[in-house]
Amino acid sequence: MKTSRSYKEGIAILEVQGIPDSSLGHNPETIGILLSWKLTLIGLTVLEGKKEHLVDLLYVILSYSRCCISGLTHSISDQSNSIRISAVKEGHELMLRSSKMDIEPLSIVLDDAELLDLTRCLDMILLDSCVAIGWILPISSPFLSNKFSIKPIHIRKLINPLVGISCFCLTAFTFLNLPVPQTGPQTVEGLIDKNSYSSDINK
Amino acid sequence: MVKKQSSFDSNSSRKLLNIIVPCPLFGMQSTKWRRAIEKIDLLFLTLEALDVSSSQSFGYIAKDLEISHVFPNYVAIWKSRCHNPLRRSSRNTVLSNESFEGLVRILSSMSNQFYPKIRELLTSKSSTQYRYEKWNKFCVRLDELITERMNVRRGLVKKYLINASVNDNFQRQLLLILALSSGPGGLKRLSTSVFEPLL
Repeated sequence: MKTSRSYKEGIAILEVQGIPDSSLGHNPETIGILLSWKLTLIGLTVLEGKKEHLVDLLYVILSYSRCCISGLTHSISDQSNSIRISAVKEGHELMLRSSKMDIEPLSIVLDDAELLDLTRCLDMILLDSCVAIGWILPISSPFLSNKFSIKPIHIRKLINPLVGISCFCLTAFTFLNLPVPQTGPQTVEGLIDKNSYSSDINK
Repeated sequence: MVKKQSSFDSNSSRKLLNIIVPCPLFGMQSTKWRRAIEKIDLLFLTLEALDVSSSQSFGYIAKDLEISHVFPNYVAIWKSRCHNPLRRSSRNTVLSNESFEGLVRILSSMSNQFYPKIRELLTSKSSTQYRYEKWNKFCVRLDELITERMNVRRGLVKKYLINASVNDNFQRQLLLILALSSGPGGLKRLSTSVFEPLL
């Protein structure tokens, strides 16, 4: 017997229909085999598809939200690149490519609030114990610190040390190339003449 | 690209957040933990900026979450928050693991309560004038709270204040963190991202 469940959060309404997988011993209320799903984004679009599409959508959106909470604006896509979400100036652009050849890709721009609604809606189905589907889940471990340490190099910050180093090098080079002052050749007699004490002795 | 993960913990906020494990060498005195405390306290300040009386309800939330043995009253929560080294008067004692987890749970639960307010501030679909007024009020309040509670001579606090005055991205990021910490999977998201730098 078909079981349907609905999850609503803000603009996002997700309805799923399925049957329990009796081979796994599910109870009648559990959805083990997903037959259909429909995601309504009020004022934007209605999405439908196969189970794999929902699994991919869930993975992409939740991974992107995971990046957003860390302040990273990475573009996230699924394995087949049919669903992609990336940050744009107006918010977050969700690009959906149909597997059918003659259908143009669908692009939806979500603002922060709409992305939050969608995330919370998908969280609901993910954590619903009555839906036993093998979701592909985003990594739930902290990101490595090197993701945050990469900072753009500002040329302005480099100007002062560069000017300083080049001044030092120029000065050093100039002084190295200066001719060493040399005194003229002097004879021993001349030296004796100049030295009064020595000349007195000679007398 | 797709990576499988065996389990994504259930909704229950009463379960232990296994991800929060102190560093074996430095305990809770490492840079990572200090950064996390700073971030948590700043997120609490953001909640206070959203609603002036929100600080009073922290104690009730602790009771609801069955962590009143860690935080018997509001003062205990405030004392834990004072471990933030950026505060004007910070505590040098070590924050216990239970207190840290408790703060994360309270934060997630409070974010869930304030979700409608946060959503209202982040949406671009409402009336511009209304949103502008609300946003301005929130920004001014947050700025005041940071100046009032934090040591403004510290470089990081200066950085916060500069970022807050330059553009709205800093406040927007704080609200986004709070909103994504709410809801069924919010606690898990917050606990995994709490050690990551804010700026």
